[in-house]
Amino acid sequence: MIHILRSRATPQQMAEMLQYWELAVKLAVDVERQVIAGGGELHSDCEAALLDDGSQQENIWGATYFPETTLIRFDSVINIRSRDQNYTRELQHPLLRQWIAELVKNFLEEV
Amino acid sequence: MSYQATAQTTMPTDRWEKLRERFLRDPLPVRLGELSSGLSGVKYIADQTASEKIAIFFLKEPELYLEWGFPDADSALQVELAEIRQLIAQLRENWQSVWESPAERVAVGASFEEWSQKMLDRSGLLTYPDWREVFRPAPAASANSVAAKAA
Repeated sequence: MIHILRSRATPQQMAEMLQYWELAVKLAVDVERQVIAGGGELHSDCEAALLDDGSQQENIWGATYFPETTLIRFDSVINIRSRDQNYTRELQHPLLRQWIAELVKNFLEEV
Repeated sequence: MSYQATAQTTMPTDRWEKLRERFLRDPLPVRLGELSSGLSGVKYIADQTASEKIAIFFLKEPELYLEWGFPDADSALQVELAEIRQLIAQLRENWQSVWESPAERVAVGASFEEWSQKMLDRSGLLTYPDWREVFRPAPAASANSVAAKAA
Protein backbone atom coordinates (compact mmCIF):
# COMPACT_ATOMS: atom_id res chain seq x y z
CA MET A 1 0.00 0.00 0.00
CA ILE A 2 1.26 3.47 -0.87
CA HIS A 3 1.29 6.07 1.85
CA ILE A 4 1.90 9.75 1.33
CA LEU A 5 3.91 11.04 4.26
CA ARG A 6 4.12 14.67 5.33
CA SER A 7 5.59 13.74 8.70
CA ARG A 8 6.97 10.73 10.53
CA ALA A 9 5.39 7.41 9.57
CA THR A 10 3.52 5.30 12.10
CA PRO A 11 4.50 1.66 12.67
CA GLN A 12 1.33 0.59 10.89
CA GLN A 13 2.14 2.72 7.86
CA MET A 14 5.65 1.26 7.79
CA ALA A 15 4.28 -2.27 7.98
CA GLU A 16 1.91 -1.52 5.11
CA MET A 17 4.67 0.05 3.03
CA LEU A 18 6.76 -3.10 3.52
CA GLN A 19 3.92 -5.26 2.27
CA TYR A 20 5.40 -6.08 -1.13
CA TRP A 21 9.14 -6.10 -0.73
CA GLU A 22 9.32 -7.02 3.00
CA LEU A 23 12.83 -5.71 3.57
CA ALA A 24 12.58 -2.55 1.46
CA VAL A 25 10.29 0.38 0.82
CA LYS A 26 10.23 1.89 -2.63
CA LEU A 27 9.95 5.66 -2.37
CA ALA A 28 9.31 8.72 -4.44
CA VAL A 29 10.35 11.94 -2.75
CA ASP A 30 9.24 15.48 -3.54
CA VAL A 31 12.25 17.51 -2.47
CA GLU A 32 10.39 20.80 -2.87
CA ARG A 33 7.28 20.00 -0.80
CA GLN A 34 9.19 17.56 1.47
CA VAL A 35 6.68 14.80 0.98
CA ILE A 36 7.37 11.08 0.56
CA ALA A 37 5.22 8.50 -1.20
CA GLY A 38 6.26 5.03 -0.13
CA GLY A 39 5.21 1.42 -0.51
CA GLY A 40 4.47 0.94 -4.19
CA GLU A 41 5.41 -2.17 -6.11
CA LEU A 42 7.42 0.08 -8.39
CA HIS A 43 8.85 3.58 -7.98
CA SER A 44 6.64 4.86 -10.79
CA ASP A 45 3.56 4.04 -8.69
CA CYS A 46 4.91 6.18 -5.87
CA GLU A 47 5.71 8.90 -8.38
CA ALA A 48 2.16 8.77 -9.74
CA ALA A 49 0.81 9.13 -6.21
CA LEU A 50 2.88 12.28 -5.67
CA LEU A 51 1.77 13.74 -8.99
CA ASP A 52 -1.85 13.12 -7.98
CA ASP A 53 -1.08 14.82 -4.69
CA GLY A 54 0.10 17.97 -6.47
CA SER A 55 3.82 17.43 -6.91
CA GLN A 56 5.69 18.64 -9.97
CA GLN A 57 7.63 16.04 -11.95
CA GLU A 58 10.93 17.90 -11.77
CA ASN A 59 10.88 17.75 -7.96
CA ILE A 60 10.29 14.00 -7.66
CA TRP A 61 13.12 11.49 -7.24
CA GLY A 62 13.11 7.77 -6.60
CA ALA A 63 14.90 5.87 -3.85
CA THR A 64 14.62 2.64 -1.88
CA TYR A 65 14.90 2.45 1.89
CA PHE A 66 15.92 -0.62 3.88
CA PRO A 67 14.71 -0.18 7.48
CA GLU A 68 16.85 -2.94 8.98
CA THR A 69 20.11 -1.32 7.91
CA THR A 70 18.93 2.27 7.16
CA LEU A 71 20.51 1.82 3.73
CA ILE A 72 19.14 4.20 1.09
CA ARG A 73 19.58 3.36 -2.56
CA PHE A 74 19.12 6.20 -5.03
CA ASP A 75 18.69 3.98 -8.07
CA SER A 76 15.41 4.10 -9.99
CA VAL A 77 14.16 4.34 -13.56
CA ILE A 78 12.15 7.40 -12.56
CA ASN A 79 15.43 9.23 -11.99
CA ILE A 80 16.37 9.01 -15.66
CA ARG A 81 15.64 12.59 -16.79
CA SER A 82 18.23 14.31 -18.91
CA ARG A 83 16.12 17.46 -19.02
CA ASP A 84 16.62 17.69 -15.22
CA GLN A 85 20.34 16.97 -15.67
CA ASN A 86 20.18 13.44 -14.33
CA TYR A 87 21.49 11.10 -17.01
CA THR A 88 21.43 7.75 -15.22
CA ARG A 89 19.18 5.72 -12.98
CA GLU A 90 21.18 6.79 -9.98
CA LEU A 91 20.44 10.26 -8.63
CA GLN A 92 23.67 12.15 -9.13
CA HIS A 93 23.17 15.52 -7.43
CA PRO A 94 24.84 15.38 -3.97
CA LEU A 95 22.58 18.01 -2.44
CA LEU A 96 19.41 16.27 -3.59
CA ARG A 97 20.75 13.00 -2.18
CA GLN A 98 21.50 14.71 1.11
CA TRP A 99 18.03 16.29 1.31
CA ILE A 100 16.35 12.99 0.55
CA ALA A 101 18.49 11.16 3.10
CA GLU A 102 17.53 13.70 5.75
CA LEU A 103 13.84 13.43 4.96
CA VAL A 104 13.96 9.64 4.96
CA LYS A 105 15.79 9.67 8.28
CA ASN A 106 13.22 11.98 9.83
CA PHE A 107 10.15 10.21 8.43
CA LEU A 108 11.16 6.56 8.41
CA GLU A 109 14.18 5.74 10.52
CA GLU A 110 13.50 3.61 13.60
CA VAL A 111 9.74 3.68 13.09
CA MET B 1 22.74 -18.75 5.82
CA SER B 2 22.04 -20.96 2.83
CA TYR B 3 20.18 -19.38 -0.06
CA GLN B 4 18.28 -22.17 -1.72
CA ALA B 5 14.68 -21.11 -2.25
CA THR B 6 13.60 -19.35 -5.42
CA ALA B 7 12.25 -15.84 -5.06
CA GLN B 8 8.78 -17.07 -5.97
CA THR B 9 8.49 -19.56 -3.16
CA THR B 10 9.42 -16.98 -0.58
CA MET B 11 6.60 -14.62 -1.55
CA PRO B 12 2.91 -15.37 -1.00
CA THR B 13 1.18 -16.31 -4.26
CA ASP B 14 -1.35 -13.47 -4.28
CA ARG B 15 1.34 -10.85 -3.76
CA TRP B 16 3.50 -12.48 -6.45
CA GLU B 17 0.55 -12.36 -8.85
CA LYS B 18 -0.15 -8.69 -8.13
CA LEU B 19 3.48 -7.78 -8.60
CA ARG B 20 3.63 -9.77 -11.84
CA GLU B 21 0.46 -8.14 -13.16
CA ARG B 22 1.77 -4.69 -12.31
CA PHE B 23 5.15 -5.33 -13.90
CA LEU B 24 3.68 -6.63 -17.14
CA ARG B 25 1.47 -3.55 -17.57
CA ASP B 26 4.55 -1.47 -18.35
CA PRO B 27 5.99 -1.35 -21.89
CA LEU B 28 9.07 -3.45 -22.64
CA PRO B 29 11.61 -0.58 -22.41
CA VAL B 30 10.38 0.38 -18.95
CA ARG B 31 10.50 -3.26 -17.81
CA LEU B 32 14.07 -3.50 -19.08
CA GLY B 33 14.87 -0.36 -17.11
CA GLU B 34 13.43 -1.94 -13.97
CA LEU B 35 15.42 -5.11 -14.60
CA SER B 36 18.54 -3.00 -15.08
CA SER B 37 17.94 -1.32 -11.74
CA GLY B 38 17.38 -4.66 -10.04
CA LEU B 39 20.57 -6.13 -11.50
CA SER B 40 22.56 -3.13 -10.37
CA GLY B 41 21.40 -3.76 -6.81
CA VAL B 42 23.30 -7.06 -6.76
CA LYS B 43 26.59 -5.13 -6.80
CA TYR B 44 25.84 -4.40 -3.12
CA ILE B 45 27.32 -7.85 -2.54
CA ALA B 46 30.76 -6.38 -3.24
CA ASP B 47 30.52 -4.17 -0.16
CA GLN B 48 32.46 -6.07 2.48
CA THR B 49 30.31 -4.55 5.22
CA ALA B 50 27.10 -5.64 3.50
CA SER B 51 24.31 -7.43 5.29
CA GLU B 52 23.92 -10.93 3.87
CA LYS B 53 20.16 -10.73 4.27
CA ILE B 54 20.02 -7.54 2.20
CA ALA B 55 22.44 -8.95 -0.36
CA ILE B 56 20.13 -11.93 -0.88
CA PHE B 57 17.19 -9.55 -1.13
CA PHE B 58 18.87 -7.75 -4.01
CA LEU B 59 18.85 -10.99 -5.93
CA LYS B 60 15.12 -11.37 -5.51
CA GLU B 61 13.97 -8.45 -7.64
CA PRO B 62 15.74 -9.31 -10.91
CA GLU B 63 14.97 -12.98 -10.36
CA LEU B 64 11.26 -12.20 -10.16
CA TYR B 65 11.33 -9.95 -13.22
CA LEU B 66 13.19 -12.56 -15.25
CA GLU B 67 10.80 -15.27 -14.17
CA TRP B 68 7.72 -13.38 -15.31
CA GLY B 69 8.55 -10.78 -17.24
CA PHE B 70 9.61 -10.57 -20.91
CA PRO B 71 7.32 -12.66 -23.14
CA ASP B 72 7.51 -9.96 -25.82
CA ALA B 73 11.31 -9.77 -26.03
CA ASP B 74 12.83 -10.66 -29.41
CA SER B 75 15.01 -13.75 -29.78
CA ALA B 76 18.31 -11.92 -29.32
CA LEU B 77 17.09 -10.37 -26.09
CA GLN B 78 15.66 -13.71 -24.93
CA VAL B 79 19.14 -15.21 -25.28
CA GLU B 80 20.60 -12.48 -23.11
CA LEU B 81 17.85 -12.81 -20.52
CA ALA B 82 18.53 -16.55 -20.38
CA GLU B 83 22.20 -15.81 -19.71
CA ILE B 84 21.26 -13.56 -16.81
CA ARG B 85 18.93 -16.22 -15.40
CA GLN B 86 21.82 -18.65 -15.59
CA LEU B 87 24.08 -16.21 -13.78
CA ILE B 88 21.56 -15.81 -11.00
CA ALA B 89 21.04 -19.58 -10.75
CA GLN B 90 24.80 -20.11 -10.48
CA LEU B 91 25.06 -17.49 -7.77
CA ARG B 92 22.21 -19.11 -5.87
CA GLU B 93 23.90 -22.50 -6.22
CA ASN B 94 27.25 -21.21 -4.98
CA TRP B 95 26.01 -18.58 -2.59
CA GLN B 96 27.89 -19.71 0.49
CA SER B 97 31.30 -19.92 -1.17
CA VAL B 98 30.79 -16.60 -2.95
CA TRP B 99 29.68 -14.86 0.21
CA GLU B 100 32.74 -16.09 2.08
CA SER B 101 35.17 -14.81 -0.57
CA PRO B 102 35.72 -11.03 -0.80
CA ALA B 103 37.28 -11.40 -4.23
CA GLU B 104 34.36 -13.42 -5.59
CA ARG B 105 31.91 -10.93 -4.18
CA VAL B 106 33.65 -8.13 -6.03
CA ALA B 107 33.72 -10.18 -9.24
CA VAL B 108 30.03 -11.06 -8.96
CA GLY B 109 29.13 -7.43 -8.30
CA ALA B 110 31.04 -6.35 -11.40
CA SER B 111 29.41 -9.02 -13.53
CA PHE B 112 25.90 -7.98 -12.52
CA GLU B 113 26.71 -4.31 -13.01
CA GLU B 114 27.82 -5.11 -16.56
CA TRP B 115 24.54 -6.85 -17.28
CA SER B 116 22.67 -3.98 -15.67
CA GLN B 117 24.27 -1.56 -18.09
CA LYS B 118 23.51 -3.81 -21.06
CA MET B 119 19.85 -4.00 -20.13
CA LEU B 120 19.70 -0.26 -19.64
CA ASP B 121 21.21 0.20 -23.10
CA ARG B 122 18.67 -2.26 -24.56
CA SER B 123 15.85 -0.30 -22.96
CA GLY B 124 16.73 2.88 -24.83
CA LEU B 125 15.44 4.95 -21.91
CA LEU B 126 18.60 7.08 -21.82
CA THR B 127 18.00 8.36 -25.35
CA TYR B 128 15.00 10.49 -24.36
CA PRO B 129 14.93 13.80 -22.45
CA ASP B 130 12.12 12.23 -20.43
CA TRP B 131 11.19 8.65 -21.33
CA ARG B 132 7.75 9.11 -19.75
CA GLU B 133 6.68 11.17 -22.74
CA VAL B 134 7.28 8.15 -24.97
CA PHE B 135 6.65 5.19 -22.66
CA ARG B 136 4.07 6.43 -20.22
CA PRO B 137 4.12 4.18 -17.12
CA ALA B 138 0.96 2.19 -16.52
CA PRO B 139 -1.28 3.54 -13.75
CA ALA B 140 -1.16 1.76 -10.42
CA ALA B 141 -3.86 -0.85 -9.82
CA SER B 142 -6.90 0.43 -7.90
CA ALA B 143 -6.24 -2.17 -5.19
CA ASN B 144 -3.04 -0.35 -4.34
CA SER B 145 -4.73 2.97 -3.85
CA VAL B 146 -3.10 5.66 -1.83
CA ALA B 147 -3.96 5.59 1.84
CA ALA B 148 -5.32 8.63 3.68
CA LYS B 149 -3.18 11.60 2.85
CA ALA B 150 -2.90 12.99 6.35
CA ALA B 151 -0.03 11.39 8.20
